[in-house]
Amino acid sequence: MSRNASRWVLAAAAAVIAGCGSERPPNTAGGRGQVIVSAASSLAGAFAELERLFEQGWPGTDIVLNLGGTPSLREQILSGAPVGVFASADAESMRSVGEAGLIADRSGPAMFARNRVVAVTPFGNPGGAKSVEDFGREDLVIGLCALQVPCGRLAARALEKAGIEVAADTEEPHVRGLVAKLTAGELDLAMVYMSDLVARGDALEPLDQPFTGSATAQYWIAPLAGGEAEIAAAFVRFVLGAEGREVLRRHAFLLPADGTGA
Amino acid sequence: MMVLAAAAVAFFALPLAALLWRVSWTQLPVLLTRPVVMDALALSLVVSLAATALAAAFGGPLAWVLARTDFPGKRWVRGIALLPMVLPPVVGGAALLFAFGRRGLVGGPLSDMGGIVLPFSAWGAVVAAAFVAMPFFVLTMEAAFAGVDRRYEAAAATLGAGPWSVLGRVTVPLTAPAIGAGLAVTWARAFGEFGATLTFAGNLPGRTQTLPLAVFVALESDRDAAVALSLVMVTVSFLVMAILRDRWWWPR
Repeated sequence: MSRNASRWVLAAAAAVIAGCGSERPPNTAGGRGQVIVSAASSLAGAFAELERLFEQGWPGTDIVLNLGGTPSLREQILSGAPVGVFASADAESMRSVGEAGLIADRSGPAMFARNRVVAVTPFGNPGGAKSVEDFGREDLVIGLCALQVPCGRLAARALEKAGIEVAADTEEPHVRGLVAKLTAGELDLAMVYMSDLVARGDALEPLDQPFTGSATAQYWIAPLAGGEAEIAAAFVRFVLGAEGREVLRRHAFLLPADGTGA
Repeated sequence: MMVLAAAAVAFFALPLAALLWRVSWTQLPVLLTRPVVMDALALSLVVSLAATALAAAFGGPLAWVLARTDFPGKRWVRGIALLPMVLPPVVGGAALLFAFGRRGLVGGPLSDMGGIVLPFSAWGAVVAAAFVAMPFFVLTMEAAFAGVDRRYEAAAATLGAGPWSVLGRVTVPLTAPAIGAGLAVTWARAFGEFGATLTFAGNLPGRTQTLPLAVFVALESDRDAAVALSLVMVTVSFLVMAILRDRWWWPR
């Protein structure tokens, strides 16, 4: 009897372990399938769509998006926030999370998208900015991302390369704050991501003489040790898969295989 | 009762202790003498004091009107005046942008006629801080004005004092402790202002980057610097509260 019982327990355990490795979550997940995805602010639009599609395909799962500047997401994770997936806008932040031993997947983080910075004005170009030289004009209201976030570093590097002394009026801690001030018409000229320009094509426009940075932001994704491991891993696979790539492409991200430079 | 009170004290004291625990004391002098820290501290002091002055200059009279006069819609006026206390500061900042921004309700004509543009200027930071801090002064002073024994004022008036003289020589001295307390909480709120400032005035070192904004930005890149800046904020707040308390706050 006791021998039978223990065999039964073993069989059940084996079934559970086998279940963990399967592609689909067990149907009994009901409400337990919540995973927090900490994603860089610039991924907001694309990840909102990815969340919706994933939840449709995986009933019973609940992806909770936690959007913010990459460095503050990193700090949250390093301080022990129960995050299931980290989608970072730079390699350094992902590396420091990896060095802290918080990445669940043995295959490590994967680069899944890239993004350029581009000079934009509000629609209609009320300040009359024409070229990248205008970033030096004191009479225009000019915004950049803060140097602490990837979009700020990329913009500063691109403008420095172009030999411009920037007359900035604000350095926004998040690219979304910068876009909000642009679309409100409070800024004349700014550097945002290409994906922002495409997402807000109704409110933003590129310069007549377009200016984009040559370097790109690299987006890295990895499942972390802090969440429902199976669903987190599935979400990462979904982002890296054909459907995920299609969504990212539609939101104007460059995919790792596209173009040149990294 | 004592246990719950002790829990409350621990609730306030623990995060402060944790902050002190994170300070890298050996690096502190280097971190604190960086120009960006000095700029942020100087700017924060100027902005918060200017906002407090604005709040007192306009909020004092408003409090007096609310306490001493009766008019239709008074409850609404009070409600509007106190709204920023419960409004998320970011929403307040966005509302300020819609009002005083370059394309705002008032800001549009202001910038067209006078070339006055508040966003992204130190004045913008002052306006944002005054917006969120003024209600604290109004609230304190309304209660104080309502609490003054009217017989003193009546006595002064019968002795020949005009209304301004009564206000200056009787009412204001009687409410002095409340003025001190009101200034202290108003200043503290202005000094710590973050959300409305970032949304309305932006973030530029030396112009609109006050200490809380500097802490926020540093937190993203340099945690030691952020902790050091936080320590400065706590210390300055503590000192100002202590000084104000000794001066006026505690009725002796």
